Amino acid sequence: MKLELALAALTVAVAVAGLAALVAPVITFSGGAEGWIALAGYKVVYLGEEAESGVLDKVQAVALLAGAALLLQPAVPLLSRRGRSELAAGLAALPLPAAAAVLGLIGVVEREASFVTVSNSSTTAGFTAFPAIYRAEGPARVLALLLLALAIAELALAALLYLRSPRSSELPIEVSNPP
Amino acid sequence: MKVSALALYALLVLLILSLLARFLPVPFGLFTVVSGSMEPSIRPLDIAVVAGRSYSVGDVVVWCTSPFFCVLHRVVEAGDGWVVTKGDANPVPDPKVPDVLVKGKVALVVPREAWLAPAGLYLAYLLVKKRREVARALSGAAALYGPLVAYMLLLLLTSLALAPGSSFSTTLKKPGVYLSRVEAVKAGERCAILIVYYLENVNLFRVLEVRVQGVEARVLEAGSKNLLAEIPEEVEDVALQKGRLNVTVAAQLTRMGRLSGSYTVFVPLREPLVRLENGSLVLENPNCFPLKVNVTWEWAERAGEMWRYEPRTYRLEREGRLRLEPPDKPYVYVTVTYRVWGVEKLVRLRVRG
Repeated sequence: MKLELALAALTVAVAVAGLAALVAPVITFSGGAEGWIALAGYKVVYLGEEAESGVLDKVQAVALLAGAALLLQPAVPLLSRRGRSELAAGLAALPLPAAAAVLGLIGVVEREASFVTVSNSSTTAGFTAFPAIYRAEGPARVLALLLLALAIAELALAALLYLRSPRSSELPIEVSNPP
Repeated sequence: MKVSALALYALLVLLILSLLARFLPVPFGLFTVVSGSMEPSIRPLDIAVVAGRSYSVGDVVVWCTSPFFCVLHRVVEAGDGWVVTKGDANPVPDPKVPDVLVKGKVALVVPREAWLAPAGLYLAYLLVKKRREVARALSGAAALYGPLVAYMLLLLLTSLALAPGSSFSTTLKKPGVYLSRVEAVKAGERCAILIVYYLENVNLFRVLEVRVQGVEARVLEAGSKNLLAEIPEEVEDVALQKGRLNVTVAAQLTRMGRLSGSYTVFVPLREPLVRLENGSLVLENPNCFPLKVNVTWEWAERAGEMWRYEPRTYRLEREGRLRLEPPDKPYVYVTVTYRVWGVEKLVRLRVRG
């Protein structure tokens, strides 16, 4: 019972941490560029003009898939309680690739953010200066690492519950008495 | 055979054809649009049907560098063995690509509204109808490994299906300011300096200061790419002596930028016209700067007598004309001297005798 409660708490924590990692900014900009990039969306105003990136649109689509797997997690303890321990253990494995995908996507976002630069330059026209762009790392990476840790814990707990639960084939067959 | 089964088979055939088109050199295929680079004509999640290889400028084509990287854009230029495409919503064209990479012309675009909702409804219908089979399938080992395998496959296919779109490295409108030309021009009666810039993704917003030889100059006109500033009177002598002027400009650019430039302007100087007209000396200054000329009359009453000299200095106004009458003597010469480009020039004319 305690293990089941712990699993329920973990699945909720995985869903919350995962969704937080998706919506929390990976990078925030100030100065010449204003805005933020999260896995679930972005808004970057570069030198007064809104910027668009197809790469970040793709990141958003893959992040949506990761989010879907995480939202399914609260169903894991319910399935476990209803005797569907195989399916519960199977679903409990999903946050692991989802967390890996989130961490990978954060790397893609950071690479994309590295292009948001402005340089003061000397040309034939003279010296041109634009406001410097300051970048700050958001909490998304920390949340993604937390998600990974929680995902591992959830999988371990679900596997333990699965191993301790009676298999479907071992369940007693209900035989109704003839009238 | 039931209609639902037929629809399922048709969908499968379409999917197989679509995948085949990516791997085999066949002139047809289905491609799902994932970025907004062709908006508003083609939007994300629309399905593009490619059929036929012939295309011309203005057509939308699909070109692929690998089975996993395809671009659906409009042809803006086509040459012998190459093609240049551009997304309607993109500011810059794509790099030139060999025409062998072009899969074909987009013949039809299925809007997302036309296929997403029916596909979702059909999937829901199948799930409800086959719920017992699904429940049976999701038991035992299939239930344990199925979700993970299916999810990994879904992640992989999504990552592959979504071709990487344009990156910030190409879409960010980075500003660039270059000097196109700087020259001295006439602005009314005065001389002015015209500065024209070549600007990328930025414009001149406000001219803060223009100085010519360190003296503040009045800005006559300031456009988004050029400015016209009057040459101050104080430096006109310098222009005449050196034939060039140093100009410094401080300006505010749009997009929060600042420009400070220093340029050398060569002043096109022309020599004044010195001639005799009906016995009178005529001096004409074609320049937009005033010119100082020294006129020395030389005259004698009779041959063999000592020459007498009568020097005078005149200021020839901008594009001005001066008519001088010679002394009423039988033998008269005139010498006109002036300085242009820092060099003293001399003209000597015989007026009479």
